[in-house]
Amino acid sequence: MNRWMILAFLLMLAAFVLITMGFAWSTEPLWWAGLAALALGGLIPAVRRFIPKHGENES
Amino acid sequence: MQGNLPIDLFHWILAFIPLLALLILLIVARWKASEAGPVGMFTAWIIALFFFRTSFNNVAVASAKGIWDAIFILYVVWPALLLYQVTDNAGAFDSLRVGIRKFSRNRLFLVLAFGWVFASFLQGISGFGTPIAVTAPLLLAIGVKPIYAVVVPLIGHAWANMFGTLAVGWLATLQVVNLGNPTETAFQTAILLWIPNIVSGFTIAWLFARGKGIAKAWPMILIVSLIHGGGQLLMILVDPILSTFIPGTVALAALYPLSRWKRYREPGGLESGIMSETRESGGGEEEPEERPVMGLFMSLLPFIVLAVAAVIGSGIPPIEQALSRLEIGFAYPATETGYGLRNDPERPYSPFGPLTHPGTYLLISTAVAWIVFRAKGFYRKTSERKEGQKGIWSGLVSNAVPASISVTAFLVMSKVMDDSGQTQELALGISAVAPPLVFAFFSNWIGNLGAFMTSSNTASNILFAPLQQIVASTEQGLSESTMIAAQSTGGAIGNAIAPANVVLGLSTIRHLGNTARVLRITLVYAGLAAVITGGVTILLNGITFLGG
Repeated sequence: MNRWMILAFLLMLAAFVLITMGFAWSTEPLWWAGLAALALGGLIPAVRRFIPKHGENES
Repeated sequence: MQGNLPIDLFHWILAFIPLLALLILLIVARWKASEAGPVGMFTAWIIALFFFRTSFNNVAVASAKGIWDAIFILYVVWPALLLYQVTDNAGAFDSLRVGIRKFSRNRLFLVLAFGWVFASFLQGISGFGTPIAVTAPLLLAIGVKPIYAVVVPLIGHAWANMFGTLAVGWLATLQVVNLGNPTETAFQTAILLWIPNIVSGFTIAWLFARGKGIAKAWPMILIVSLIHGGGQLLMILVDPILSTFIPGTVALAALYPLSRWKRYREPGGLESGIMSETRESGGGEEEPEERPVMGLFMSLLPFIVLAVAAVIGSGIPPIEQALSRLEIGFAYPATETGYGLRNDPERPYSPFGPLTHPGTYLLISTAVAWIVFRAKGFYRKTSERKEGQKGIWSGLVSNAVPASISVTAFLVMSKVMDDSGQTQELALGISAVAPPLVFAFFSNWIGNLGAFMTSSNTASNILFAPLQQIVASTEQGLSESTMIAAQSTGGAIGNAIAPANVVLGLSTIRHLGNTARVLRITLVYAGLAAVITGGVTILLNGITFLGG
C-alpha cells in the first residue's frame, strides 16, 4: 500500500475534524485549514496518476 | 429552498459537468475510482463557487457533511473487508466452496441463490452496502469471476433498497413529503419495485449463459420473484417496515426445496462466461480436491452470526429502540447561496447510531469468527497450506484506503452539488421542459440519478421526493402517488450503478480498479429496468387518474 494514499485519506479525515471544529467554535482559520486539507487529500491520488509508481496495489 | 435558482440550459449543463466528468473519467478514460472521485469533487467545488454563487464557507460546510455521510459507508467498508480477511485467512471460503457443492452442484442456482436471494435478504435487514460486501466474496468463493462477483449482487440487491433496512427509505420519504395517500403510494411503489426485481433475476441468468441460462433458470426466477415482489405487495398492506424483510426471509427458506429439485440440484452442463471455470462438470468424475480445513456450517458461521446480530439489533423493536438511543452527530450552521438557496442549520446533521449500524454487526461477526477460527487452529492449518498469504491487517489497509478515498470524494461531490443548487438545477431543468407524460417516464430516472450520486435510495428520496411532489401538484395529469413511487423505484435501481457501491464491492474482493468494467454491465441493467419502469409509470399514472 502506497503511503501517499494513506496520507491522502488521513488528510480527508483531518479535514472533517478541522471543518467541524472550525464551525463549532466559529474559528475561520480552522475550517479554512480543513478545506485546504481536503483539497490536498484529493489532489494526491489524481496527481499520482501522472507520476511513475512502483508496486501499486489497486490494479 | 429553491430560491432564485436560474433554470436555463447554461446552468443545467454546468450542473451536469461534475457527473459527466466522473462518468468520462471512470468509464471512457478508465481512471481508478480513487483518482476520478476527487476530480469530480473539485469540479463540483469550482462550479459551485463560480457559477452557483456559493461561498467558500458554504463549500466547507457541505464538504464536512459529505465526509460525515461517507463515514456511514466506510463503517461498512472497513468491517466488511476485515470480515473478508479474517474469514479468508482461516480458509473458510475454500471450505465454503467445497461444502456448498454437497448442497447443490448447479452453479446457476448457486449464483442466483447468493447474488439475488441472499443479497436481497441481507438488504432487508442491514443495507448500507452490506449485501454487496458480504456476497461478493461468497460468489468469488464458488468460482464466479471477480467482476461478476460484484455485478451480480449489485443487480440482485437493488430492488430491495427502498423498503430494505427495515424501510428506512420509506420512513425518510414520509419525513420529507406530506403524502395525500401514503398507502396508495406505498402500494404503487411495491408494484414498480417488482420490475427491477424480476429484471434482476433474468439479467443474472442471462449473464450466466445467455438464452440457455434463462431457459434453465426461469422457473426459479418466477418462484423467487413471486415471493419477493408479490410478498412485498401484500406486506405493504400489513406493515411497510417488514415488507422486504419478510419476503426476503421466505425466499431464502424457499432455496432449500428448490435445491432438492433435480433441475437445480445437479450440474446444468451450461457453459458460463461469468465463471472462472467456463465448463460445468457433468456430474461424472471430478478432480479430487484437498480436504477443507473446516466444514460447511463452520465456514458459514460469520454470516450466520451477522444475520442473527442484525435481526436482533434491528428487527426486534424494544432492542432496536434501546440501541438506537446512542447517537453521534455534529452541528453545522445554516448556509445560503447567492441565488437564495437556503440550507437549514443541522443540530446535529444526520446523527449516526453506531449500535444499530450494520458495521457493528459486521464487527461482531468478525470478532466471533476470529475467536472461533483461532481456537480451532484454522489460521495455523491454512497458513501451512498457503504460502505467501497476506496478513489480515496489511490486506485490510491496502484495499480499504483507496476505496475510502473514492467513497469520500463521491459523497463530498454529491453534498456540494446538493447544497449549492446543482442537484436541484438538474431535476428542475428536466421538469421544466418535459410534458407530463414525458416527465412520468423520466421521473424514475431522477431517482436513479440521486442514487447514482449518493449510493442511497434514502438520500435520493430526501433529495428528489419533494421535487417530484411539486411537479405532480403543478403539472396537470400527474399523480403524486405514482411520481413518488417512480422516484423511489429509480432510487432503488440506481444503487446498481452507484460508483461508491461498485468500489465497495470491488474492495472487499481486492479487485479495485475495475470500476468501469462493472459499470458497463450494471448500466445496461439499470437502463433496461428504468425504461420498463418508465413505461409502467405512465400506465399506473393513467390508471390512477381514470380510477380517481
